Amino acid sequence: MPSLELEVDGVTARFALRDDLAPQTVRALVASLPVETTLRHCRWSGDACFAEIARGPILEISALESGVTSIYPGTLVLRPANAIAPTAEILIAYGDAEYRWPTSRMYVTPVGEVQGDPSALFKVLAKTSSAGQTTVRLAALKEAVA
Amino acid sequence: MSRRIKIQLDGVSGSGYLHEEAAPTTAARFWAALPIEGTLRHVRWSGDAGYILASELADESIPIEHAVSFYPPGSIAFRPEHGEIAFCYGQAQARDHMQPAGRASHLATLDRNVEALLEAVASTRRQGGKPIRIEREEAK
Repeated sequence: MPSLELEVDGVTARFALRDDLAPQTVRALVASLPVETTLRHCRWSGDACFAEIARGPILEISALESGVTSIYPGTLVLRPANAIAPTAEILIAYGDAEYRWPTSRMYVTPVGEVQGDPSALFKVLAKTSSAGQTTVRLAALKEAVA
Repeated sequence: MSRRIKIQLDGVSGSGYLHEEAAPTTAARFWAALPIEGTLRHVRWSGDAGYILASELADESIPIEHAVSFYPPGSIAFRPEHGEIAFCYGQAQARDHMQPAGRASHLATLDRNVEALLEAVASTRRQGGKPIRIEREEAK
């Protein structure tokens, strides 16, 4: 199973990518890495942070795969680019989270699950609620590229 | 004349008036609790708004008055079950993890230096929590 590494404020976490649930999205996401971008706390979706990916093959993905609305802690989901929001968006939940927009719940594609003890990651994600935005780095691990 | 409140948020001051006729119980309890100080943080479920929790005002038995679900920009909304005081700067709604569409009391409306104050509220999304003080604005 492919995987990626995510780094926030000196904390590194590994995510197993669910190419069984979302083969096209995972393939395009891996091909779009590495990415360094702004990580912000969600304002509609609860205990989760989000980041935009503004370039790469992931922008060519428009369809959802295995769509979900609830985002379990430690889950990485992706909202494909669309006519209203031309960048792709990833979200990582650290607590109760549900993908919502101003008018309703929305579906997103589940793409990854954190591996190992997530407590340090959850702490830095939650901190963005009180301390503001920060930077996130995403990179495919070697076995994901092979 | 409506009672007025003054808000100081991270060096920016503004003021507004309480909806005493439409929300008499909520406004009276809020007025009695002033001044209120805390850290204004950006909401996580409700959209374009900042909030503080005034635990001394939390009381589930207090009725919703001047009910609102979607908050108008410049409004100050109160949720009695949480003691949450929300300052809305854009699209916002009374929501939480259980309720995708809750209700709140429209407690007050900002009417002086609104734009600067709401910009300061919005900045908590990028910059994190900021100190806030809400106090009575006594008639001169």
